[in-house]
Amino acid sequence: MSEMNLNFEDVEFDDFCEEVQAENDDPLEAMAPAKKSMVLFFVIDVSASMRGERINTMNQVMRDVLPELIGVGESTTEIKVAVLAFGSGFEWITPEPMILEEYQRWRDLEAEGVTDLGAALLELNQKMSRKSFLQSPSLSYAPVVFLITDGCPTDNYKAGITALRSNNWFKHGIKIALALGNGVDMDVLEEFTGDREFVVKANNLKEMTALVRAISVTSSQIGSKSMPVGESNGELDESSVEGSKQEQMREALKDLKADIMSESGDYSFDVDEGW
Amino acid sequence: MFQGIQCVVQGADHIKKGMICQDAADYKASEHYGIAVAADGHGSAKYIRSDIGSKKAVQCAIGTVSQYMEDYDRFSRKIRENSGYVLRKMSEHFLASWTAAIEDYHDANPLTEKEKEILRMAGADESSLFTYYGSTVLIAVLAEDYYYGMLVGDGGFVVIDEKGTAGIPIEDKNSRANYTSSICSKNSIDAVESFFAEGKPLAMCVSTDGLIKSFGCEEDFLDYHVLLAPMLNNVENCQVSLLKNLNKRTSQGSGDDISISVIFESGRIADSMELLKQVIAESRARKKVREEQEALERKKFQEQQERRRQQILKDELAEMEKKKKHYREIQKKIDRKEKEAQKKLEEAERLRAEAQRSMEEAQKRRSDLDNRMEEKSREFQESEKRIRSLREEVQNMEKPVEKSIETILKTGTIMGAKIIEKTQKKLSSLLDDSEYEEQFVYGDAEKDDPFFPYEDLEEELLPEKIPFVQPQETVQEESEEVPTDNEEEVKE
Repeated sequence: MSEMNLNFEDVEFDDFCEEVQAENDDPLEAMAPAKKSMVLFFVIDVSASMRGERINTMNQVMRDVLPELIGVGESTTEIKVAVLAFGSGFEWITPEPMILEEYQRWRDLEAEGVTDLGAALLELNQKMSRKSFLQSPSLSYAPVVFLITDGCPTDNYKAGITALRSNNWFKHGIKIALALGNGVDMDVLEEFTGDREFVVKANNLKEMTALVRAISVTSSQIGSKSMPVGESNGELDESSVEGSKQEQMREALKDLKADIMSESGDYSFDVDEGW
Repeated sequence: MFQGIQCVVQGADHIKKGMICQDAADYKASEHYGIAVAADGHGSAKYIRSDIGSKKAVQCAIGTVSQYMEDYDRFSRKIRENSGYVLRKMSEHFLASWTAAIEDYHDANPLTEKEKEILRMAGADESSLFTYYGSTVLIAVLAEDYYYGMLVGDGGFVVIDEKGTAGIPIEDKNSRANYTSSICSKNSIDAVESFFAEGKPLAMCVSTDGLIKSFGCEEDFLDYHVLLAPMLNNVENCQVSLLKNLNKRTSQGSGDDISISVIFESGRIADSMELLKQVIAESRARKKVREEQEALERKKFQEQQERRRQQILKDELAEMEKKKKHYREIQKKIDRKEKEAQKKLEEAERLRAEAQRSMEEAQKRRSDLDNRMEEKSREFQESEKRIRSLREEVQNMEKPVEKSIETILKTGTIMGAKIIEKTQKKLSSLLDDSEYEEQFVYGDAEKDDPFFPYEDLEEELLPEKIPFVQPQETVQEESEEVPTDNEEEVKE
């Protein structure tokens, strides 16, 4: 701010007074309230193995899900979206958490390179801070972090996971991982979420589409919900880190898996068929 | 003279869920200093008496600070000498007085059966007494020429300095989202944040987290306090305005209880009105610039995204052009092949027509040949018929021929005997005649013929006695002609 060249002559206090006159003679009315908000982080694998149908489906489902997320939370809640893509290195697709209404034009991702999951998680840890992406005071809820990958990390992913585990936002947030196909190291995803039940596997493109959409919407609903009396474990109770929302999400994921797998029909089919 | 103002509103979400207001705020204005305190009782079920806890926190904070500052000059000297130690001690005393107050209250008001049931349902431990009263607390103290503050837990602590600028001197390091430090924790003393500073700020404001969470950014939160500062010149109007605005902020924003407490020197606000107006104008200008900058950043990002998108489209277009070119070449090849195929097709058509013609000719020829063959066949049958009749004739003639042969043989034998006799006679005469020898050597044809001397025998025997059958030659000629025709037909 100090570098800005402000020309205060243009802004007369009398003008301001006239403005506030129009706002019921109350200067405080000049400052509109901000809605409660929550950030949904998408961490998307764009390594070479995602090339073709997978990245095309990913792009399509993101184009579909962005408008669907508008209005998902309660009326006084706003969902913001931040997208981190990783391949050989990482790239923030959104420069900051974006208000959904202002972020509806999805830029297609291209798949190439290796799977630098560790670097991406370190970057996520840096941005998941009051000094960075989570600086808005209106952030009333812990974030939802949704990792989507089809491979095994090619770098030191443990460093990234270790850093994230000491991040309070991450600790209290809802963490979900979606494995695409059979080539994924499920143990890595379990380390990321801290719970095997929060790791979901999509066996084909149809399931991928359904799961990305359902998980995005459901996690946003649960994550941005004000917890009623009796459900919240509240302040500084470390035993409640997983919290009531985690429990709700766990149940929701069980239902989603059952619904989507039963739609697919057969559990025993070739898991890589249809990619 | 110090003055204060406080306002507490019940959270919109609390009203919806039938929860009571758990916030508390108060102030104390004395001759040498003013104290502003706000406390936020925790919202979960196990903090069943947090509304009492927050009220006790406000009371205990004002009580502890007042006690410490009773001897204002001595306190001022001590805090300047070692602010850290004094603030630590004050904090300890505050927490001790709060726990004592809670114990007293709890002893006087044991848990009701209904409260116990709620706690059981929430899975809370009944022995953790202080948890029922869990709260945050923010304490701001404005003295004549210095100021200080303490807090445990989240919320907003804002100081409006002599230049009318709003700033945040301390905040809870542990707070994130809905999690915060609490005065009911065992290690709450370690969660205390405090500060001491020399100077004469215009006002100090403390508020619970319901207020700050109704702002999109920290700058707006600070600007809000700058807007509030000149309004303090008319406390009654300000009180009305605050109540209205905080209700709006909870219903359209945070949904949480909101409480605020402000302490200031009344005369100084009136003296600083022009300055404050200027600061507000500046902050508005800054906000405008900030918003413009943010809009610009957003636009830049959108443009960048658009450029990336266009680049992707351009690349795709180039790729498509490449493919188009490739397909055009393929198309050309196809066209060429098509032409060639067309030519071949035409050639094939021509050949087919020719073949058709040839076939028709062949058929015609075949038909002619069939006709001819039929004719020949007829002729053949006729010939066969004739042959058969001739054979019959031959068979009929065989007997006379055999008879003739027999006669000839008989005649021949007689003639042969006569010839031999004549020859022997002639030879005997010749052997004696040397002229005969010479004639024999030079070849007189007539004399060479051994049958020459039989002329008279022919006249004598042959014409009547040997019948010669001419028709045999005819039979032979006919049978030779028929196979010849047959051979030609087979060849065709």
